[in-house]
Amino acid sequence: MSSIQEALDLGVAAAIEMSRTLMDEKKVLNAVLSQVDNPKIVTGELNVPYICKDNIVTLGTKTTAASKMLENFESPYEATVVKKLREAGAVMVAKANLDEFAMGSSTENSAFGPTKNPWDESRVPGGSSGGSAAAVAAGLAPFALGSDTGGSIRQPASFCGVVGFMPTYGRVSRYGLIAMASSLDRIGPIANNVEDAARVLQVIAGHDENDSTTVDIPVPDYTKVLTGDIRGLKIGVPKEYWSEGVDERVAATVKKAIEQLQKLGAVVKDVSLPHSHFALSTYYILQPAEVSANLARYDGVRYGFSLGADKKIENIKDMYCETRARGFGAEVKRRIMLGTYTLSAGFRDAYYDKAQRVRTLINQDFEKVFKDVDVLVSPTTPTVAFKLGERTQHPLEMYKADLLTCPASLAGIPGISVPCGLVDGMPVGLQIMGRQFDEETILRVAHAYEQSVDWREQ
Amino acid sequence: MNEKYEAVIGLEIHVQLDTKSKMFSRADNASEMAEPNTNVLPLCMGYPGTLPVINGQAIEFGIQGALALGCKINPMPRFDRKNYFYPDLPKGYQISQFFHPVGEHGKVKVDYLAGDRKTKKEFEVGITRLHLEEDAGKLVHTKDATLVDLNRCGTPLAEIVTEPDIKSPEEARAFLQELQRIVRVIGISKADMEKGHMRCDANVSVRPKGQTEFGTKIEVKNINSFKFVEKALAYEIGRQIEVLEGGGALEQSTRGWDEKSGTTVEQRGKEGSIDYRYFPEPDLPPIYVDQKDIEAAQKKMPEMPSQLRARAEQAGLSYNRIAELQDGNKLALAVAVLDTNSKLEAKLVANWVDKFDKEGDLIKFLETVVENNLSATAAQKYFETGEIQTGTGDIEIKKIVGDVLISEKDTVERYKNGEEKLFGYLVGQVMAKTQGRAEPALVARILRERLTK
Repeated sequence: MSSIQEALDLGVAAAIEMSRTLMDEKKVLNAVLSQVDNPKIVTGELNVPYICKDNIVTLGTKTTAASKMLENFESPYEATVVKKLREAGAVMVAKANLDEFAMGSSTENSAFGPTKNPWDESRVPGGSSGGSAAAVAAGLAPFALGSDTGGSIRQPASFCGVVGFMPTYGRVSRYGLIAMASSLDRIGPIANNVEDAARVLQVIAGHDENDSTTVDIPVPDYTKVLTGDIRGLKIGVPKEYWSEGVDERVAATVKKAIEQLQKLGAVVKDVSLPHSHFALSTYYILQPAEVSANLARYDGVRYGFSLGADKKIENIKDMYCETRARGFGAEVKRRIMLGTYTLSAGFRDAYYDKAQRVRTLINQDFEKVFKDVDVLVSPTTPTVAFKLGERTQHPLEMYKADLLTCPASLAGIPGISVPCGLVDGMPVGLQIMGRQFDEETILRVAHAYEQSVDWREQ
Repeated sequence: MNEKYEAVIGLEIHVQLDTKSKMFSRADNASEMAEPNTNVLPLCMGYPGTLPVINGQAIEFGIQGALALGCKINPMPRFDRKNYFYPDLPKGYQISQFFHPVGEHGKVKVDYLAGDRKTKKEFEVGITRLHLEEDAGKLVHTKDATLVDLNRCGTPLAEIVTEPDIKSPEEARAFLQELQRIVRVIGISKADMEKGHMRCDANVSVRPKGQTEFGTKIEVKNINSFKFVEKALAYEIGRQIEVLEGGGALEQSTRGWDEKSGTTVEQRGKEGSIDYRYFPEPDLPPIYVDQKDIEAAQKKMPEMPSQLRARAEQAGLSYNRIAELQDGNKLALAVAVLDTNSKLEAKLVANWVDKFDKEGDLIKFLETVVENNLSATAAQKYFETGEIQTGTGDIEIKKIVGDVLISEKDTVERYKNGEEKLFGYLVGQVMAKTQGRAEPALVARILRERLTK
């Protein structure tokens, strides 16, 4: 299924059937962790099947976060976004694979095996929403839900040649999203085209009384702004986003896309976000700190994996240690330890507190530049999808995949990745970032670009 | 207590707020009697993906509590995460306020009746802060297992931290009792210590008198009744002095009050102290408290217990009587009656206030007593039967006295000639004629008046 409209034209029952057939055919991708048996169908404007990242809690299926810790976990309630989609007629047919608790950039950290990139099965789909991006790229469903903390929607979308949208922090409810780093986590759509992303966003956006960080402001009509007209719009190209680590051919492909935007009548301007170089290290201090608290609840006491009943366990401390040592994978443990360290007495000043101050500087960079330009553009990722296993032994190299996406995460601003060409036969993503709560302009630019070229020919 | 030393005490008191729902969820806050783990929503159990939502009523209660303790209200309080592992803490962190509490820099003046039940004593306690947080669950230890009950998880708490201004176990108790009265009168907590609505930890140190530096601080946990506060602190102060006198040194540590042995027992030493790794709670935005909110809370503020006691003293009540009435929750009623009925004697009001709950009823009763000049005995009869016994009033007694003086002419003569002990006999004659209904003191007064004429 290549679009929501195609699925709507098929009719929901046929679309679900097609989705199931494709999921069985493409098992090798390992994009999907579980399928929903006999999903309930209600009518609505978005009456199509979709796939939900498995760190968003749902009723009637397991929610595993791709962790052994939650291998058999069933949530007693469902996420706000899932409820909204259900009420709009969307039918969840499967849960998508991800890096364990969304920690990773390749989906190789899943306790249930890596997902493969549909473009080249020897390559990663990106992560952590790798299952969602691969599923959409392989046509398993017309759209999927992902979550983005440092790039986890945009980066896999870029690697898989699909559209990935990260809304403004506070635009979409996080209620029911298994928390990784609460001040950064966002839910957003992964789709085949910009209009589909806008249609899904339309349904899931809005204030939620269950999430105090959602903002109570009107949700505009996102599809109405997709006019194709971007004449006079000011587009900033931050010079810091083309430095070391960015593949030259990727950079060239994205530059070509920027020329295209110029041809469409946009005014392109060089700008600077001087604190960008600190974004990755800032992100990898703040995010693990929040992780260390958010994952403390997996202690074997109430739900999930537990060694509490093991005869060798003699006291509560042993139960905690053994349960967590065996229930969590290596990357999760690495981040819990990093975060525990940076929040510890005597170190918090130098790490956590300082990183918070740098985060403020990064925010100010964006605020300042958005006085001059309407959107910012850059590559989504420094490289195209890398090979499976290539970076698993080098965590720092893996973290660098978030280099160009994590600044927008820290600043809470919205961002999208749209495919803009191929390098080595693999998709390249154009990242467009916008002002807080100005999702419309990003969508408009992304849509205008998408409609004006065949990105596979770029 | 050894005269060479003085004690320095600071208290940390947790007060459960009597809100309708829990601190961060819609779960009912009245779960004391509920079956274990029945009053829980996914949030209370720390389920993945759940998010806290601030209970506005708890914030209001916090502001009221902070104002009542003389605190300055923070214009932008916010919540933080306090990280530690314990089976009664489902999220692995407690949402509390570390960096920006609701209120700070308060002061409470306490006056109380000393142990001799006569002397009025006064002292002042600085309030470091009042902050809001969520309560944890409860562990139930059985013979072969430890069970977890999460009903209490998320109950709103106000934690009140005092400056080290308290100098004796007696003062500590007096402060706690005053705090209990304050939170009750402003209606933010039931504050029943026995039920755990109010729980107290104390930081205690001793130092030689005259020394300005503090001694080694030791935390005593688990003091959960007024009686134990005094006992635990007295024990701990004695223990610390004994260690110092014996040439030993004290080390910063945490001890628990053990009710059975009547001692404090070490729970963890300095090495065992926990690093809570506080950081701002990202799931909750800051709260904006403006001057209007503070003024609204000020307006709702009732009279503080100390103000009530001051008015009671002005109205002429003795301090030990004030303390008694306060303990019996009757002081406010007594003062209200005295305030509006200046002709009523303070003592009379104090004697009868225990028996009434409604101001109107008490006033009506007392007015009848005064109008009819009822003796205490007669007033008691009137209270029990609702009938005013005639024949016991002044006029009636005067008449009977007149009769007795005539019939006992000889005795009167002998009395007047110096046989003063016969006075009692004459009183007895009058009493006999009233069938014992008259007040003996009144009879004696009238009789003496007539005899000295």
